[in-house]
Amino acid sequence: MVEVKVTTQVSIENVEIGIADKDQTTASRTTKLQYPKKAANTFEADSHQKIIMKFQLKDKSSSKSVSAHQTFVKLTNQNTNQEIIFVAQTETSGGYKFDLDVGANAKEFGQLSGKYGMELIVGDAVIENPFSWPLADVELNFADAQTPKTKESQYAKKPEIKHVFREPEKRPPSVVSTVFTALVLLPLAILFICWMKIGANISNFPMSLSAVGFHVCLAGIFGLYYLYFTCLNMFDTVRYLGILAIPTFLFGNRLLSSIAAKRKGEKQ
Amino acid sequence: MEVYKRVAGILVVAIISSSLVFAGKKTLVLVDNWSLRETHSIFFRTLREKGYDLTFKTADDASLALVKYGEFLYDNLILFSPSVEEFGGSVNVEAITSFIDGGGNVLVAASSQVGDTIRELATECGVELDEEKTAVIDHLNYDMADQGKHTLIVAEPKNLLDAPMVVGSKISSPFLFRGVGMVADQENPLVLNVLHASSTAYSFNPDTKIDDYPHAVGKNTLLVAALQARNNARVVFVGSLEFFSDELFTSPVQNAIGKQKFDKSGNEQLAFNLADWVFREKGVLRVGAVKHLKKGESTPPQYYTVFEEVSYSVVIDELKGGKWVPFTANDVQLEFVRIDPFVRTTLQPKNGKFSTTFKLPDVYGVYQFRVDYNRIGYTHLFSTTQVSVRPLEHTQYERFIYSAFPYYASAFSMMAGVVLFSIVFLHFKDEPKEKKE
Repeated sequence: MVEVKVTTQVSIENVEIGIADKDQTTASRTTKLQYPKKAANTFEADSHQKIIMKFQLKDKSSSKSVSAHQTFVKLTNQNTNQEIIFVAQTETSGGYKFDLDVGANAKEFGQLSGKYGMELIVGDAVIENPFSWPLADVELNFADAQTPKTKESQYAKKPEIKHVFREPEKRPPSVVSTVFTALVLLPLAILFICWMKIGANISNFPMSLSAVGFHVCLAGIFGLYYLYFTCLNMFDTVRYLGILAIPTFLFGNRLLSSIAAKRKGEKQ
Repeated sequence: MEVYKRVAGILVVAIISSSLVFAGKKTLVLVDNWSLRETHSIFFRTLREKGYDLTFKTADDASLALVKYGEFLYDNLILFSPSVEEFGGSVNVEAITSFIDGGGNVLVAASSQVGDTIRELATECGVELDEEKTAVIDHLNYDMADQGKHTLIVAEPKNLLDAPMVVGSKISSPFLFRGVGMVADQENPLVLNVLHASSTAYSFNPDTKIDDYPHAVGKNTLLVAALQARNNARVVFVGSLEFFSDELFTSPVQNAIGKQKFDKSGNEQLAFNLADWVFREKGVLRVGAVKHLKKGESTPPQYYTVFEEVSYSVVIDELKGGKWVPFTANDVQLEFVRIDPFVRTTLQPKNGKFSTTFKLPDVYGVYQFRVDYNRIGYTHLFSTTQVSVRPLEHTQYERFIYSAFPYYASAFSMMAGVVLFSIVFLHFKDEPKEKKE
């Protein structure tokens, strides 16, 4: 079978575009357009309205109305470049009609209000001059309009995260601590002053190993406590304390017993 | 007889050696009819030259099998059999999806005569093929050589996915395409829209009137779709079997409306770029040695402590021309994760070694060093190393806080007091008393 196709040049005529209310059946004011000019003004439609466009395709040589395989209306969001394509339907009268219920098709538009470029694409295997005609701009307003979502691509580099360290707590002014440090050191100072007044002395200090040893060991234990506070851990501290405790005990025992013996002798 | 034996011996040696060379490149090609080997000879010959071990079978061959004794017989599968209604042997859609699940790569070409089997396979992979007898039609972008239905369409290189790893770079000639349109499943995040048609295209039966909304219109019409599964298996769907044919490889392109002419279509270039990608010749990454250290030390510690400076490094290699070479990229990121990432920082590349230094957060717990590198065209790179981060030991806190000086002073003055008082108390000589006496 050999398919014979006669190709034709088509012209587009009687192009009308208008906005009508959804519940009104009567067509409202329409604007006539001439190919390939674009409508001067922007059409506005909200979710209670419809965009209606009518046109006829005619054979250029015979002026008979023809039909085309592809009669699409493309709406392109001017911001996101998203394209939504609708099919214009044939009418019984031979023309084409495009009827867009803005509210009912809100989902197709992703509820994105804004300016859309309207383009009519006409093409067919037998049409020699297919065209894509930007015929008007329409401003669509949806009831619950949404802002375009910028979807985070799973392939994109993620934003950097810097860990925010906790702020150190605010500390009292240094004057307060200085004053209180002085206050807690005061008893020691008072002790010295009182001792001086009553004439404290250590004249009875016996020059024996046990006396020197006991006091050195006692001071050593406190020194160990200081080290525990600054750098040693508990296990080390207990070990050193155990080592220190033995001489302290022995020296202390001998010192105290010698003092007791001395006092006993004095009494007698 | 002697000669025959010798020839047979040589053949055996040749087969063994070739199977060694072609390890990882064993490919099964399923065709509708044998004439395809002639009409698509450039594609197959070039694949052979690249080292692929091609096994041709008709799609309804009764001896077809992908698995033998629990192991896959092939690494790659080329389905150039769009009209197949039922595969032969043990192959079916389920077997092919399990082949993909097992890490096998599949290149599928469809056409306007696409059967339900291929459509089912496509649906499994998140690609919806249009019905039988439909074709992608573009009345404004068809080639001069079109036969009157405007189905030999011209796809511009600007409609390619912006991913040089998948489609290659520097393709200037448009592509010729005659076949079925596809739509990607919006819910499937792994499908890549490799090549889409222009906004004037649509997919429909060219011989019937458009009475319902076409399956695919405008830029949603996919000509080439790709999928990299989570196990890094790759699948490419091309809507046109003719896309790979010698005819379209070599023919000139001239848009019938735009009139711009190119001497040779970009099909060949794109076909081999896609083949390289889908058969995992490129875009494959692997993780080498992972190292993490306390700053200034040379061996990794058993545990870290909060606030410490840590240096981390990972070696990443890329497969290039069959060899592992150091990978270069400026967007590899490291996350330090304890349920949520606490730190995310970019790794500095140096000869395939990616490293960084950062301060550990002030929260202790069990953390992971995580490199999760997922870029279009590359295999998904994922590496985690678990470490524990401890709180400060009691000796690691600040020792002398000025505000706490009253406490230190009271404690130490008490100690000093005890030492001094014990000396004075034990060795006090009551002199005035003696004087009185």
